[in-house]
Amino acid sequence: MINIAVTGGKGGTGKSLVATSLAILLSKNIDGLVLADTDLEGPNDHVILGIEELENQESITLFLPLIDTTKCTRCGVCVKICDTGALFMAGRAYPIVFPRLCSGCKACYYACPYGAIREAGHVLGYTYVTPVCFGNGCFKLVTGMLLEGEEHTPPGVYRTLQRALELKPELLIVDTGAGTGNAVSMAFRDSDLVIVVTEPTPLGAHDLDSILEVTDAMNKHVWLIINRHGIGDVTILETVLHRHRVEKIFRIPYDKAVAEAYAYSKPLIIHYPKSPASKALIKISDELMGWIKH
Amino acid sequence: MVRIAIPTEKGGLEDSIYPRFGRAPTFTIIDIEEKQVKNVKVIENPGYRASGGAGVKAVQLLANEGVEIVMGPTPGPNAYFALKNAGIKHYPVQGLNVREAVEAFLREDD
Repeated sequence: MINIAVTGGKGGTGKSLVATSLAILLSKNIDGLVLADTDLEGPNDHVILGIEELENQESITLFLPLIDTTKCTRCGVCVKICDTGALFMAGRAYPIVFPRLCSGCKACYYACPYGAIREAGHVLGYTYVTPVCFGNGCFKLVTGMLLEGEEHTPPGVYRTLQRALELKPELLIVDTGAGTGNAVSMAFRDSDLVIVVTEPTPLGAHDLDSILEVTDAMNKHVWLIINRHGIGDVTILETVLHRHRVEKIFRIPYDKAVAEAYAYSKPLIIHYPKSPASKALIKISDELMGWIKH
Repeated sequence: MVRIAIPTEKGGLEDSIYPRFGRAPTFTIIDIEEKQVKNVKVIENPGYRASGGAGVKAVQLLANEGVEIVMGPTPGPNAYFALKNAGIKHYPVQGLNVREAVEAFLREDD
């Protein structure tokens, strides 16, 4: 299996455009392609692909401690070990649980010397597996989605990736959320290649610096895509790139067709195949195909 | 004797009240006996650097310290629930320093 991630630091640079386009293009030549949308706080690959309903829903259930008061001696070990403040104990009362603060790490469960913590569950969100076909290219879209108000994104990302791996893909494309936190680095931790999408703006440059610090630290092979090339000042990206390891650089020109495709939920690559942005994406896909075969 | 806690930055009677409860760097703990300040100590708040659950961690510390009253900004929902559970009273006070807050408390107590 080959694992390719699409990330970028800044939100709205075109990560999902790149990830969905590559999935459509590469699925023509690769059977068993899976696209994992790990932007759990706002998954939207299905919107770009024009999918109205996600299928095969499964719950993401996290461990939640349940205090067995017949065994609990009120020693307070669980409260001490809890890193997220989800357990609280007033004086010599039994510990109480704050479900929303619990990350499901199970440290309390293993630390309790009396076996007084029982396993309960807390539904964090859902994963979906939706078959997608465009022409003769088919792939599966795995989507992770958090329930409103949930704070613990990384365990949800982990479970979304697990669901994607269960499908035994030949090629896995991981679309990450914005940012550089654990929820993002975890998404591309096992990737063989990380595609970083940025734009020639001060915000793009700033967040590019952050994400490349992460990919450098994780020793990743990085290809860079400068999206919306033609707007802003591309030289501001150069100073950032001097400091980091990037193996290839591609450019997607600023193109009105992208906005039109978004506006009607019609994948760019299918409905505007001759547009300058599509041509650039096709070139990237061809290079990737060569890299995969190699 | 009554034990009061006030969220502070560096701590002490002359420090001002920190505008956030769970994320305050320190708590100044004041023991009141017979309408007099008997003892003042400053403790570090584990909630200051916590990635999450700061309010609950702060209240846990205060509960362990035997604090009965907290004065300062309104706590967040988790800290509020933990304070209630521990039976710690909260008096909303803002814009004062620690000494002024304690003096106000002593006057109110009459």
